[in-house]
Amino acid sequence: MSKIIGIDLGTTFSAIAELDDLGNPEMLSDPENNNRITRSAVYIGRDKAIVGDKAVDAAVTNRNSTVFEVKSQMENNVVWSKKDGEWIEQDAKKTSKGYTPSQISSIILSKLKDYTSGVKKAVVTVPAMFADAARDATLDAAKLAKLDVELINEPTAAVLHYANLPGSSINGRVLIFDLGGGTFDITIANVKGKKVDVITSVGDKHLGGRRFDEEIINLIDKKYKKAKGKGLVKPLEDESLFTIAERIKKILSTKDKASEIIEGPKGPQKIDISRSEFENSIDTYIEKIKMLMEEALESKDLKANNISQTLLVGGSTRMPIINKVITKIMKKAPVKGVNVDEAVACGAAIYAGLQNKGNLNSAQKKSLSNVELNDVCNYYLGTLAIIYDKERDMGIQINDIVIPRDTKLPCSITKTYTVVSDGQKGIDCSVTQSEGEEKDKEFVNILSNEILDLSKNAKAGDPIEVTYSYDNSGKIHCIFEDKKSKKKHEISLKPAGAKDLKELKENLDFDIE
Amino acid sequence: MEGIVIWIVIIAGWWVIKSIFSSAFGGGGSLSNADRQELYDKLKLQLKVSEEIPPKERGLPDQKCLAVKVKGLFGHPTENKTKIFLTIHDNTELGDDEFGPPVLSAHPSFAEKNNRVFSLTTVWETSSDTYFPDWYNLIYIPKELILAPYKGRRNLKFNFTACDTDAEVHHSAHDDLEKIKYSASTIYKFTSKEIGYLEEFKNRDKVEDLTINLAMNMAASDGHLDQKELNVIKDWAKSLTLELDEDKASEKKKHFAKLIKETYKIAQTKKASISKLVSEFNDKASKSQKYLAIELMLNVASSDSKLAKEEEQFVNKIAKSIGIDLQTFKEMKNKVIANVDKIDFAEKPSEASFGITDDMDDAEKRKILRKEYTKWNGQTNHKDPKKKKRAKEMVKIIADLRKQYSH
Ligand SMILES: Nc1ncnc2c1ncn2[C@@H]1O[C@H](COP(=O)(O)OP(=O)(O)O)[C@@H](O)[C@H]1O
Repeated sequence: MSKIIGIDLGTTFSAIAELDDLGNPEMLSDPENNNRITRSAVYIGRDKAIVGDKAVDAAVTNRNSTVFEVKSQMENNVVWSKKDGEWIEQDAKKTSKGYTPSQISSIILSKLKDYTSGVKKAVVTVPAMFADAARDATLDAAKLAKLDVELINEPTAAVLHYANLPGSSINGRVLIFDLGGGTFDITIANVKGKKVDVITSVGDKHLGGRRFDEEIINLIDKKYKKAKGKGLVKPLEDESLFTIAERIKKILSTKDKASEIIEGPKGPQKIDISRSEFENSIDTYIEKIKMLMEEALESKDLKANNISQTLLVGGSTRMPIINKVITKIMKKAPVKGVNVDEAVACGAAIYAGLQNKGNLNSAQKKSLSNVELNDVCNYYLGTLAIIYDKERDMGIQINDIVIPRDTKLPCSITKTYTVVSDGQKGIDCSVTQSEGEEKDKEFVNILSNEILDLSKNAKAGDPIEVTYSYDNSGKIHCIFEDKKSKKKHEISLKPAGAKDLKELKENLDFDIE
Repeated sequence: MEGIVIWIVIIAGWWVIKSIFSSAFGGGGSLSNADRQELYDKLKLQLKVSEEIPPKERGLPDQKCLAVKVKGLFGHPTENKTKIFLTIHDNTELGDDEFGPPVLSAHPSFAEKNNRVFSLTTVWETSSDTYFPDWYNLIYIPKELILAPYKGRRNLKFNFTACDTDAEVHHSAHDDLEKIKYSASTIYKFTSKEIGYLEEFKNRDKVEDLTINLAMNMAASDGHLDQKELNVIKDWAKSLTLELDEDKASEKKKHFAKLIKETYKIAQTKKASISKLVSEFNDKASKSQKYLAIELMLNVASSDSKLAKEEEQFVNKIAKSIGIDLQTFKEMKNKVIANVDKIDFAEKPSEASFGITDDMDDAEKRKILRKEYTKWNGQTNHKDPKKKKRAKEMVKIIADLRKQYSH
């Protein structure tokens, strides 16, 4: 019987959990060091790859061969060049040698799946606001790691876990605050027993612990320069400084001050950083966090007192300032005493159980019998249409929303449009996606753009019916139908991994340690 | 986008149309011819127009509309169907019996097919004695929907006709007057705030010149007028000549070349009186011409792949003084911001460019900045790397700005 596995493929840390015989998620640890969370760092040697703390160590002497934060590159068309030690943008004209984000991620996945044996299927988590391209790349990584994978949004997984904790007191409308190493997500959900209904998710894909480490490095650099008259050399490229900065950051989560000896071009220097200095240095990020919280509430017409609990997910929620901000906005402190590093992987394992009911033993089945999850569409899906703009007094092309964001999945929505002019030859069947409610074509991603030919006698005003359906697995099906001629054009979109295995595999042949 | 609203219109329900003899008089077969004549006189078709806020159940926005009401007999005398039309004419310079130039409609659902002339038509099942016993609200027309031929106070003639079902109206004129069975009209005094479409036609050359002049001054506002900026203006001028016949086009091209040269000199010295230019432009240009001018200026501003502070201030000022919708303007500007390579970081977008003014309190400012943040944060997933990068920068600029209002 295949195992029921959930994987949190994080920006800075990754984790894997398995559903045990009784149907409870259980963290698996690295047999080598018993760690339940694994650094998402990858060292690429000549014929072997190393994942985890040892890769971080390798980075100190071999920065160019070590990749950090591959997750933040999943949406980009880039490769990691060992020669340059950085991500190189790929375009049609120029392709550089190197490793794609999918390949690097697949190495992490392969490492994790070897914490136990016989893993063939898994649920992998992604940030709620992950772009389609990034989801595709994650599925490609899974393919390479020989895993049959389904995706779930991280905050959704976390709330599923919290709702399933034995004796859980989580109930009512909750806000999940997920601040990890690289990304920040907020999800609001309704929890009733073990039933979870997601209401909305918002997020920032470039906000997390690693950014805070950078600010500490900037502080260190400034202080070093002040003391010694000369600053550090390319401090933001020095991984050993990141290690120190992270250490300082963690100390500042419990103490008011942290000190470290810093080696620089003018010799060692003791540097002190206070908590308030650190908090001031990250105030722009904190402002973003406040805005997203307010936005999440307001977009659903909610006030702080409509939320019963705030749940924390992600290592960076251990910073005291986060507690302060949450308490101020929510007028109530967040729920304490839960394991913020493990919730996502555990929730993913529970979701894997839900997706594989046929594979469960009777105890597992019983344990999951009342669990239910309803998710929402995280984007606006629309189509391009012509409208008369009264204000500008001219006809313009706009993006018209068909499925609004936060619509409960699965869903199917039909809208009727009309042919613009007599004798019109065809209809532009475009499917668009946007995070905001955009009218302007410039600000949406066009997922597909095809033509439906109209019959010869098309007349202005003839109805065109547009139906979009969106299922739980993220599959989008769109039908554009000319009601007069009954001609249809259908478009199917599904994040499925963009590339084929052979192409993916190129120059990837490692032992993984 | 406030500028775009689709108006949904409901046309007469059946229940209000009554048959004279069956309901009003309980079987009318017994009336004498003289009585009948008197009755028909009383039932004469009438029309009236007044300003009203539509009742809730019509599902229209809560704002003043022109309520067009009819009363009296209109059922086709021999057929069991009646086609009705409503047309609107500008009769300011004409007698009440005449028909002046039609008004245009700002929305296709109120326009004739294939043109923009205002028209409303529908076919009703009727009998020869179908009438509206009381004033019936035929339709509510949102005022901004009516585009008069001239600016200012106009006498609009509303004309309602009940006709044969094969009757047609083109440019507000009936093809065959014989097909009209009943008609009624009324005059309504209407104030048109915008330049009318006939004036637009008359003013076109002047407005084009003024637009070019403004664009030249905008290009020079950051201290230098470079070739790329000049090219955008030249291309725009050229596009105006494309649909003209050859002679006219070459004449116009010559004119533009001369104009650009002249304005170039003046713009360089920064001696042009911008306020005079703007006020003349404001007087003569129609709404759509105003937006086209703003669009040109924004294109000029971004042609050197960066948006300089002076340029931004220049367009902001003009947009404000010509009274276009500031929300629409902001959206047009966002598009430019998303596409330029560089925002001068020494000259970050100011609070004013996000629509923040001094009289707002901190909570209002925070809200506006949060909305802007949400907008740009959504763009950080854009497939176009340039737009994505710009969005990330904007997000940071906005969060930085907002900090100072957050306690
Ligand atoms: N005590 C702490 N104080 C501040 N930050 C912490 C603490 N513990 C962990 N972190 C930070 O949390 C981040 C990792 O969180 P995690 O949820 O594992 O992220 P991800 O899943 O995105 O990798 C790192 O940036 C780490 O430095």
